[in-house]
Amino acid sequence: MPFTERIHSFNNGIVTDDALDFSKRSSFKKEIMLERIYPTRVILPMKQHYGDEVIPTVSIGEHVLIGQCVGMPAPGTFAVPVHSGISGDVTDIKDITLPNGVNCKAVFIKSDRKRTFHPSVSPRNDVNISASSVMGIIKDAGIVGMGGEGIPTIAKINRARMFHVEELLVNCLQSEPYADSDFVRINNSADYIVMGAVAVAGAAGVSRINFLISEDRKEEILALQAAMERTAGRYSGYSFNFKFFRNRFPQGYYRLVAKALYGVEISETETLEETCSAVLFNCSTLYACWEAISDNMPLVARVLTVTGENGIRNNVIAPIGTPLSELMNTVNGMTDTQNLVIWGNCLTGLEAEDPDNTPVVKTTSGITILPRRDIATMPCIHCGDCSNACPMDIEPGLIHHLLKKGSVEEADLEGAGKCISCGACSYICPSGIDLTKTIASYAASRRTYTTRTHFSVDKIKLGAVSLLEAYEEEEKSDSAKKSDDIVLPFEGGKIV
Amino acid sequence: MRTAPFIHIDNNIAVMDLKTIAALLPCVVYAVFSYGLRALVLTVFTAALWILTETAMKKVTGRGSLRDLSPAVNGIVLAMLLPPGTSLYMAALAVLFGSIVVKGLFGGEGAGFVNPAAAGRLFVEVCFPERMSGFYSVGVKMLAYKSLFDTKVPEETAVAEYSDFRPVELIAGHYPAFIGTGCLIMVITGLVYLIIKRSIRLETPVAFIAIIIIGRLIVDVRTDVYNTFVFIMTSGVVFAAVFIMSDITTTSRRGLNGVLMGMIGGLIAVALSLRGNPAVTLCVPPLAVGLISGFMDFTDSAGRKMRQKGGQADA
Ligand code: SF4
Ligand code: SF4
Repeated sequence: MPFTERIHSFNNGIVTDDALDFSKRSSFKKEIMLERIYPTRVILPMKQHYGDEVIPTVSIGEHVLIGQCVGMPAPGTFAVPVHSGISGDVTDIKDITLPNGVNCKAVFIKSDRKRTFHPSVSPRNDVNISASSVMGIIKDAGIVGMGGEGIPTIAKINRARMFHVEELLVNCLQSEPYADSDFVRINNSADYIVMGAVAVAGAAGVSRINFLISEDRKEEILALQAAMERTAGRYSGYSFNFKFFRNRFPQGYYRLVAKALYGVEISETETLEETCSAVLFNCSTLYACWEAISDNMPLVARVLTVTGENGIRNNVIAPIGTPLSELMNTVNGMTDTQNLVIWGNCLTGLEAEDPDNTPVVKTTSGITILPRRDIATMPCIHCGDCSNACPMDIEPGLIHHLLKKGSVEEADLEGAGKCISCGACSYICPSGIDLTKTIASYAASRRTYTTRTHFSVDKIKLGAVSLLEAYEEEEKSDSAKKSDDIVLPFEGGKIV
Repeated sequence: MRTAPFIHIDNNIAVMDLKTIAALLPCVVYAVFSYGLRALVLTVFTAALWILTETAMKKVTGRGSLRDLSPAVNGIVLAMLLPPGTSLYMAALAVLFGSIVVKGLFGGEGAGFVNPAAAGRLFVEVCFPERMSGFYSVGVKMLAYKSLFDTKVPEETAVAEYSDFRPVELIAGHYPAFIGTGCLIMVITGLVYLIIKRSIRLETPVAFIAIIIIGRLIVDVRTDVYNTFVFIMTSGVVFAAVFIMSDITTTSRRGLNGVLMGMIGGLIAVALSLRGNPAVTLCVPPLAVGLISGFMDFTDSAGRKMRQKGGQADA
């Protein structure tokens, strides 16, 4: 990294204790211990993305193969398909409730231990792929934002095309303690990420690709740089750049990226595409895109960090739908039922009360297992640490107090609605006050804007046509022709 | 069901207090080294009495039990600010004023306006100035425990002009001073520890000291700038900066606010230093800054709402 390079950052946020950030200290990463998990069964919820539930396309008793579609969007809904990551028999289809409160049908599949792939899963031989083919593949592969937002990637590409964005941003800013699945992905498969970025950029009609990464992620920067050099020589039409960030949590959130990179405050109702002419994709999502394009492999597995305070940590590749209990069994030493099992990461995750029936979904980047322990609480000492930590520049201590007293309007005036539930304030509070719970629940309850609005989901639903298709229709009459001219020279996963 | 976040910073209030106590230990060691076991007795006494008083107050007011170590911190800081010849009676009075009147009546844990140790020390200085003058020459070991219970006014020992001491003696604390503030090396050792442990914010202390140096240089330039050095070394302002001005509960320590508070404290200290009472110079600036912080909070619309509605974020 040239020392003159500007380091981007937003205000506040937290740099967690070094002791917690095992990913910087442990040697396993260098050894690339990316263990593959072969679960005995999977539970595939029909709603793992932002949008509408999909409909199971299999029935109980049916034999399914790896890569086979088991859930399809109903016509006119905002959804992407769900595929199986194991081969085996469908044992049940019933309603489940995920820790985030989503209640939907789920397909239960028992593994046949054979790992048989669906015939469609084979390296692609097409010489040229048009932008619209790339979009079709990404949609059919069921790819969604894997950093946690879960928005169908195809919808984001369409939005980028609609606003004629100028930059594609690759989000390599994972910053939550314990989590380093994205970094393992980068170290293992930087080429796939760079190629995925090129493919998606081509589909979105963008030629400038910026990789956003913390300045201290030296290994990952080198891996990406090498991959870019290998790729850039063959694609004169695309420019690759790094944008270095200061390492702090929660740096990867799109509104904070806008603040750090463009100095722009995006309101709750604005989008990065519209305001900054940029579109942001998580690096693991781009990996999945390239895997779908080159290997014709839908999104059926992902890397996630399984970790906790008991010293056993690992990054694994697990089929989507793997029950958390099977992950705990696989990573030796994490079966203690006294522990708290967290679906997600330790600052923003949710407690999984029934690890046996809680699956890894497309957006699960980590499972955290921590000893159950109570945090002693004290009255606020007005230290201001929560305000210093809050990335949204609000005063969590004061807002918490106002909400507890029922002064909702005043709390609102103080910006309570801006809370993004990052957990930084509760983490940092020396008095152990759970500020996040109070403020985030309030913010969630008053949020009238939603991603649905950004994507006009409801409007599209009324029209009985899939949002994804609708965007494509729009494209065809507008910029699609132009974009279709972009021919991506991919062949069988290799650069032509 | 538990909700996120599931981890918490190690630095809770009790741990922060523990770190402050650890940072104060070098000063306690200096106190014992310079003024004998009498200084240790005084320190243990003030800390223990402060803990007892707060525990009793909590019992009486039905606020549960002690949940932090701030009474011990207050007690030790107070002891460090006492002249070595202070009797236990005076120390007890300072503790009772600091713990009951200042800390107790203004809301207890986390809700005080001013630093209770500085307030307690100032209280006895103002009410019993003649009893707070027990300075002794360094090296006189105070093994005469009887004097701890003296009701007599302590005799002043003739002390040489500070400017007669060599710089190395001043830096090492080899001159008569309050029992724990005299040795810059020990205070800096504590400061370094707090910085390493990320348990101090430097805005206020640095601004405080910077303004004092500038202010004193302006005053002393007409006579002898060496006096500025002597003042910084002997007045205990570095101790006050590290252990009182940085008090998170009573001093606004966020960014520019923290700098501003430090600057105001520094200006007050410079003004008071011209009048010569070391205890007043040391204790009034943090108290004034605490009051100003509280006043600013009160006039600030958000802060006002908070105070009116009960004073503190509920745990
Ligand atoms: S949880 Fe909300 S209030 Fe707390 S730091 Fe994050 S954004 Fe700020
Ligand atoms: S961090 Fe906790 S103790 Fe400090 S001001 Fe905020 S709520 Fe109060």
